[in-house]
Amino acid sequence: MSKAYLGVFEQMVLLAILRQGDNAFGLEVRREIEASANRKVSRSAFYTTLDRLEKKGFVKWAPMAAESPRRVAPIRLFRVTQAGLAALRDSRGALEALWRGMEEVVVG
Amino acid sequence: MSPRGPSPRGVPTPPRLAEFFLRLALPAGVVGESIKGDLDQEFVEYLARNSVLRARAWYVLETLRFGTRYGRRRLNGWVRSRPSDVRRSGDPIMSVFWQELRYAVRRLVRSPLFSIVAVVTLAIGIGANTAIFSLVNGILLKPLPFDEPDQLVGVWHTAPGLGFDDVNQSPALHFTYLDEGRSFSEIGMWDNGTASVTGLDEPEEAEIMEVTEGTFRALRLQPVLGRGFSAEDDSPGTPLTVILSYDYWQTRFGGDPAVLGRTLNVESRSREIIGVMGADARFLHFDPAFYLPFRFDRSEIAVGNFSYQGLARLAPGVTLAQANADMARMLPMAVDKFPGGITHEIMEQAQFGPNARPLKTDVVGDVGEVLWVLLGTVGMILLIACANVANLFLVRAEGREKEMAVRTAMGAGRARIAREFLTESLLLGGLGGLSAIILAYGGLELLRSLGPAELPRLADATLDWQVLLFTLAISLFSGVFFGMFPILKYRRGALVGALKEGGRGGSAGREKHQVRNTLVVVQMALALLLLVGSGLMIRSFQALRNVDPGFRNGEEVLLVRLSIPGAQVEDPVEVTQTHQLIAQRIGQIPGVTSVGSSTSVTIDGWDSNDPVYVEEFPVPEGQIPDIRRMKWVSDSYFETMQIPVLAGRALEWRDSHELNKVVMVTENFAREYWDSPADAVGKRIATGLTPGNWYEIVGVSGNVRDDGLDQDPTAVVYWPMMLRNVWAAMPGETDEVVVHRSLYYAIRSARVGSPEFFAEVREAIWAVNPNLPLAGIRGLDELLDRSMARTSFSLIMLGIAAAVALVLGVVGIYGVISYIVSRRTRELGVRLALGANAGDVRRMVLKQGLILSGTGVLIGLGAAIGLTRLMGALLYGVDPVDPVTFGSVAVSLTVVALLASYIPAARAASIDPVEAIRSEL
Repeated sequence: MSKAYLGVFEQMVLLAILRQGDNAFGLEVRREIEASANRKVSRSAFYTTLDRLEKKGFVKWAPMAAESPRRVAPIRLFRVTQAGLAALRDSRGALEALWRGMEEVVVG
Repeated sequence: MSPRGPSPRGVPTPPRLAEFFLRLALPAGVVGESIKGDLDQEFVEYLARNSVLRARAWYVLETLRFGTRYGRRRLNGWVRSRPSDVRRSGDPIMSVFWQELRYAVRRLVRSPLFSIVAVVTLAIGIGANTAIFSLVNGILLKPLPFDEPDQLVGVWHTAPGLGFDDVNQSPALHFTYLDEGRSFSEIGMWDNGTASVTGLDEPEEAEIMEVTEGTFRALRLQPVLGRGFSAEDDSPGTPLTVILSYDYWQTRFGGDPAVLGRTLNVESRSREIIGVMGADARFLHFDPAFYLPFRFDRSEIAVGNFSYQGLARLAPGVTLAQANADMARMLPMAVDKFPGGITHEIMEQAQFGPNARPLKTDVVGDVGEVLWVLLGTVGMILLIACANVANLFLVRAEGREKEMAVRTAMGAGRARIAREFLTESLLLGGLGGLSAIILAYGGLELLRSLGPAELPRLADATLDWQVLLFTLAISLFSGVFFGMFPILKYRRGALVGALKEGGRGGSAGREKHQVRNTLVVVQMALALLLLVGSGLMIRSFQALRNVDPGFRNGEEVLLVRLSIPGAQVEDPVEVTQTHQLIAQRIGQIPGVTSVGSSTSVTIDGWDSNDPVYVEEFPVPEGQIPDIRRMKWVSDSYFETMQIPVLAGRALEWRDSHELNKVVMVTENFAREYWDSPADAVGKRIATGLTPGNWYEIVGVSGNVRDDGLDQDPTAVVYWPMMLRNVWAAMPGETDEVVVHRSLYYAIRSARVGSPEFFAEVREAIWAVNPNLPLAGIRGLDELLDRSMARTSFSLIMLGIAAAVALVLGVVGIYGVISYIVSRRTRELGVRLALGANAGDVRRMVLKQGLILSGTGVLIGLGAAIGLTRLMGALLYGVDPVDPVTFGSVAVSLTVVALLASYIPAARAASIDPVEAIRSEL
């Protein structure tokens, strides 16, 4: 099977899920990306990417009952699968291979 | 129920329409709910930092932005999924259907402008029909919300000999039908009114319903708590009882189940609460606070006093005709059972007869005419919308001519191409229908919040399954309708022709435009029809506004009804003194120029009618003279209302105090008998069972339109508010002094309308008696508005319809002329190259627009002459074929159509011949 390379935004979503750990609910993950990337993340781009990652088998979720009194609707806890971790590793490896020797050129 | 679950009371929730839209875009199940949950959670957080309005606006914007993008991505994903994905999952027919549908979606997504314009146009057409049909369905078609409603009848009578089509129920007749009737399983009598309640919070004047004990049984209404009225409750001399409405129980007693056995102080008498009606128990179109039993004393009634409403339930298998025959049999019995009132001779002379009719007629009233006219109107809107979309569809199909011709030549079946068109048109129809439901929902909510007085049973007008079925049907009809045009046009032969000609992009032939031209002509004709309809309503409205109601400057008059119950003040003299004191107190308020009162003011809908004898013009023995409107006034009534006194003097307090036998009459009454108002002064008239108790006419007032602005002035007799009983000759009556305890105060001041002013009026009243509730508070002009409610409602609805028709019609003619110009670019270029000047080309195109709109206008005028007669009942003071309306609408529509054609005409004139010929080569 050929390796699947991830888009930058896909990587960001996967990493944000990993960083949030047991707190990786939709809203929290999106806020994590916004905080670390320091920019607004469009809701439709975010949920579409989650749908796509799920379809590729990189992300799984489990429904939870919300504990916050602010919320009654069900809430999804996201988790990165083994395949997702592998894809993240591959993407990073490919990037690093490309970066090698280029630091001076790019950074100047 | 929303999965968000019950929100705590008082916490603002996101706008429901936005939530509905969001759900459409999101997948079903946990995924969709959790995404919506995320957004809702952000809404709550946003709400903590911002105002409710801002938060809701934020939610709507976010929903629109997110919903459209996310929804479109999901749709794209579905459209692009390989056909095999779908085929695997189902039977062959469904898979073909899904495939066609997917192709259709793909084609529509590819031309978003066309799709949006088509869906919006259809949504307007279908939405208007859905909304109006839900009114027709809820008000006219749905049965009344009672058990076996077809058995329910209104018990009415008729007396053509006296000029009355409708005569109400009389207690004597009610008891006769109850005792002797064979065709009713239950019979009831009721009346609505108001009563003062004290001892709860502030004294209040509550809407009440008085009923006989059989009334609830006839309607098969059961209390949810306690019991209904028994024969004992409905008899004089027994303990007083009351049954609360659900709302009143909730608001005044907090829904306390221990309310039974407690007392309610009504008209200063305490009554035991014996029951509570259910939340959905509605009494016809009334919404009373509570119900009281009538408690008639059978020994004191006679045939007469037709001021009650009768209703009954037909016994199983009995028809309306049989019930009427049964009532006719009993009428003479009533005269013998309850003597002292109307005699056999009078009944014969009045041609008194039964007139039982379906109870629904009583509830619905005359609103049916308006609604059917409206349904016809919006039907035309739908036709116009369909014609517009059909035109767009044809234009699009022409763009695909070559593709289709090639495919046909290569063996694609005609059915296959027809299927493509139909799938696309049905999809558009379906999308239009879905959007229409949202539009109709919004429209109905708006209508309900305005609550036009004209519409009874508005609560029954909902988007239920019948309405949705209707929407589905007209959506399908629309889809098939405009989908058929390209199918009919592109028969196999036609397509081959297109292929031959098509090499150069098809300079369309005359035959090809015919369908589209016809559609535009139809549109213009329909638009003209609707414009004429609303033009006639505008003229009616103007005519009504110019009608003189009889009083002047109503905007400066505040009305307040005050009733002094017998249990509070028993002595009639004291009642009159109290009223006088109150009037004086109100008169001392700064800015009040005058205060008058009467049992009823002009046009307030309250009517009391009795026979009036004129001394100089005796009627033969045993005959009833004409029945006249009666009002009982105190002092300064005419001055306050600014109704002119044409001769003699107005009634004053002293007439009541001194029991003067004096009356006033209106000018039309005076002129009926004498040459001039002045001649009437000094003449004598009487009322009662027989003539003889004469009252002298001391003054003649100007005419008043008491029955409504669209009716002729009513002849009125004004009596002093306190006088000796004029019905002393009736059984059970004496010639004691009687006083009218309930008076409508008219207060004239330039300060009317300010809240402080009303507070001062209330203080003045309560300074005299703190237990008097204030009721019927409104400006005098509001009565005028109410009298015009039906006309203004029809005007607004028809006006909206006509505006929509005009826009769609103009867009239609603009589209067709533009299209013709674009197809003739090369030909026009050649003409210009050969020396035609720009003016000639412009005139040529304009002429085409003129021919189309002119034909439409002429056909429309012809149709309007026939159809506006149908709305005759809605018109006032204007002929259904009013030349001014017809002429001005025809001219303006033609001018507007010409303006719409001018834009493409100007474009045609500015064609660069070189460019045009080159680009088409």
